Amino acid sequence: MVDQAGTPLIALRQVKATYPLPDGTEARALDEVDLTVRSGQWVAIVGANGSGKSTLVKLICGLLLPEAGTVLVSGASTDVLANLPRIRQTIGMVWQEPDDQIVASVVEEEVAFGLEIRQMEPALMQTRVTEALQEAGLIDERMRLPHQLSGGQRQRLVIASALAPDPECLVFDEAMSMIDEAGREAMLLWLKRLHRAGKAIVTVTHDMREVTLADRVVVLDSGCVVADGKPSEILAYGEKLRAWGLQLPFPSAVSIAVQARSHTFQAPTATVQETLSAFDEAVRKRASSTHDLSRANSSRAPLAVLPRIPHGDRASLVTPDAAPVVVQLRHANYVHQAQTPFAHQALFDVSLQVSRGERVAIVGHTGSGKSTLMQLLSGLLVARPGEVSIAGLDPALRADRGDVRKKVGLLFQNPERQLFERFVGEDIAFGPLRQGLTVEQARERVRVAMDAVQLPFALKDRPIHALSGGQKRRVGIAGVLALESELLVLDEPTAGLDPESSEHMLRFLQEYQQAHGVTVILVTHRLEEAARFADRIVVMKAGHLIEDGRTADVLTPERILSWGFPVPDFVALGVGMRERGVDVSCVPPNVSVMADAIAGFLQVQEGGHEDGATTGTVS
Amino acid sequence: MARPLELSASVALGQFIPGHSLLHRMDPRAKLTVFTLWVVLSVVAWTIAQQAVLFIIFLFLLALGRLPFRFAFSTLRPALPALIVVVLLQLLFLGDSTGLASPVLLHVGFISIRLATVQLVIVSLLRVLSLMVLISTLTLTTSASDLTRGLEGVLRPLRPLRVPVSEIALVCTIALRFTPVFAQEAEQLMKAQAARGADFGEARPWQIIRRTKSVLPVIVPLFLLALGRAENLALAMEARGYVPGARRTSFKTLAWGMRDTGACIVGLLLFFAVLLIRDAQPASAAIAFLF
Repeated sequence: MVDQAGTPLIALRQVKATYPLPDGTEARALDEVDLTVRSGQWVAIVGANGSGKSTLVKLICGLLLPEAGTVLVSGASTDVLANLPRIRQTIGMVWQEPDDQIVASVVEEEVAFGLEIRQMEPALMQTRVTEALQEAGLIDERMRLPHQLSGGQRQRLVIASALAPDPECLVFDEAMSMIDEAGREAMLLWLKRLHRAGKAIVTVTHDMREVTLADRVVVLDSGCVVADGKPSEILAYGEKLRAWGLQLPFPSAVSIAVQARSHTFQAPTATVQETLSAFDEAVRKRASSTHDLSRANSSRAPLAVLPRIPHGDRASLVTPDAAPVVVQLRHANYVHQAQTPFAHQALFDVSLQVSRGERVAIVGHTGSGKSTLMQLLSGLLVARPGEVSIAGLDPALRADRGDVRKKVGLLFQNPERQLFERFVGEDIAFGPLRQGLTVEQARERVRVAMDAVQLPFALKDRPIHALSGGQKRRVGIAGVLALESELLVLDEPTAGLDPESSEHMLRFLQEYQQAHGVTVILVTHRLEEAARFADRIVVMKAGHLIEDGRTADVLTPERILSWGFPVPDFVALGVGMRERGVDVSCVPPNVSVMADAIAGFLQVQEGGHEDGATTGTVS
Repeated sequence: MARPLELSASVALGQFIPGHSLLHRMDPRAKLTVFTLWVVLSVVAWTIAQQAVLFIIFLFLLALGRLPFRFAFSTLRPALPALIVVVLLQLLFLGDSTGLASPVLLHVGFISIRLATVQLVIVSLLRVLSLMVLISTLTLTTSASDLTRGLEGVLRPLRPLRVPVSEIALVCTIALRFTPVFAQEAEQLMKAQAARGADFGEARPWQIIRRTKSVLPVIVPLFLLALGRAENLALAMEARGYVPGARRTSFKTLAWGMRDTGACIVGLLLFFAVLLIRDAQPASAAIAFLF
């Protein structure tokens, strides 16, 4: 076995890599990167889209050779062909999209595939496959077909397949980005277990919430390692992370913001629990410095965890009673593949009413029926049985269907993958032209839509393949906005974007909604996104509508748990602070609002006593 | 009532119905052998009587596999318009070109329909139906993985001739594995484009140009997606240590039983029995009478 202190498991020395651009030149992907991963270590590699993460992963597993420098896996260089089998044995890879990795058509055979390659004896293979499936919690699904599994199950299958040959190290390339929150939580627990069992783990991600579990964090920015250290050291970079396209986890961001306002506060914290402890500590310090123990009220009776009525901008919200109804569902059901042996019911007796100008979020896990509901709301599917009315039209009638399509703009996931014309302008104009507008009118629509998504109008003559991924997504969105429909239904518009781009996207959609007064239905599996964007949340679970209420009212820990979601940090922190007497609302999630409230609370305590306390505590 | 855009419902390939019927339990190699034999037979059988007997046998197979008749035939629906067009063209324009001296049944202008033409059309129609039933029966009773393992087994004798048997089997596995994935993807694309005003459900079956044009917004992105997936899959397989042409062990082994030998013998006997059937005269008489 490899000596712990001696040969590292993975070692990159002065590695350079480039990739070809469409115009024939080359761009730098990595520049003089040094990186060491030791046996049993958990290293998180973080960076925004385009920082060189994927190139790094391909270098590590020998799928790509460096232009300069060396990559050693257990001391063996990846540029020697004879080393590759050993390197593949040492490193198990898990990529982003499970569907692109599953080869076999039956679950258990997929796990066996890697073992067949290694020419394992059939008897031993049986035990290994069973063990791996048990570990992944997929033992009951072993005879099923991969496409019948949920997204989370498929990703677990990919991990089980990587685990079966017993590699020393597992590398995850954005492997959590495709699964829902509950699945993510379970996956992180599994990684912890594997780490304890002695596996080295490399997670590559742009989600800072995953890094707090790692032993070490490496930050990449445009091909260079810009930071390397323990999670707490990386979090301490604070605002600087933003410049690298990363986003602090909510509790860390709050702690840093509070520290900026009130220096006694210990920052940065990594988790909600740590932030609350830091708060308690700050309160205790104040109390002891003022010799007034009665004010140390961390144990004071919690206020009733009542939702707060949101203030300010939200008050202008249109009430459902006043505004005209845009979409109405009455006792809607839907069965997929009806009248075949594969029929399954996706929706059970769903009733829902959405009025003009509302911002509604539909949340639920994969398979909860939210995408079926979305298709009913936009008239693509017809309830059977049930009643649907969209802007007074009935999508079940052939005569009405064309008009329904004009009223509803439906944006599917990954709109950049749905572009089909050669030029940007043509693609955006497709919808308007199909609506029967003249070329001149369509051109005007294209101009307005491109303006809305902040793409320069001159780009309309650019071939689509020459755009970046982010630009393509905006073209896809412009294609839907150009329909100028009064109801917009958006399916996971931020999927696959890094945190900064996601935030931009949500803010932009919100501004568009307010400027045009349209109705927007956002489908998402992230509660934080729902809370940021929507006034109203509709929760789907196993085909049933189980919640429908104002965002500020329904986002309580008890309810969230009952939906089968883990409580998001912004809710947990908000509730924890309210229990400690801080007057703060957690909806919408806003770092500076919460930090103001916390700092304000600490200052009020301080203000009532000797002023010396403030100056004394700064260090 | 609108037919929903549900592509996965009409893709029969890879839609295996688990079960325990005799057909389900047969060794896939035996199944493939017998089915290949019968496909050949169905293609070469030239008389109405032969085709009719074959069709009845195949319907019996469907029952033997305990398969829902309606579902097996629903896969026919998308092909129906094309089938009708072909039949009409044959019927109207084959005319004298069959070269057979048979009585003219109908003569209008330059169109003349002969008895032999009608017989030919019926034979080809029955042939298409038979093949569809046969293929449905095979894919509905055999899992994709058994199918490819069976193929690998049947082709094994070709290995000394340097035929890359396990690679062919792997290619088939991947094709079957991705069929439902692409069906789902195409469905999603159709919906996305329909939402932008593309007309899929709207065009009538006879509006052929309109129908062809309307699939472009789906075909182009689907093609790009497929290429992207192929690239990712190749990378993932390489990272798992796959080397083309290298020896592999097999996780599942097939077991040939008495039942499979029996099935092969029965299949072979039927093959020759059907070949021996001569055209029954009453059939031609009946057709002549109809006109």
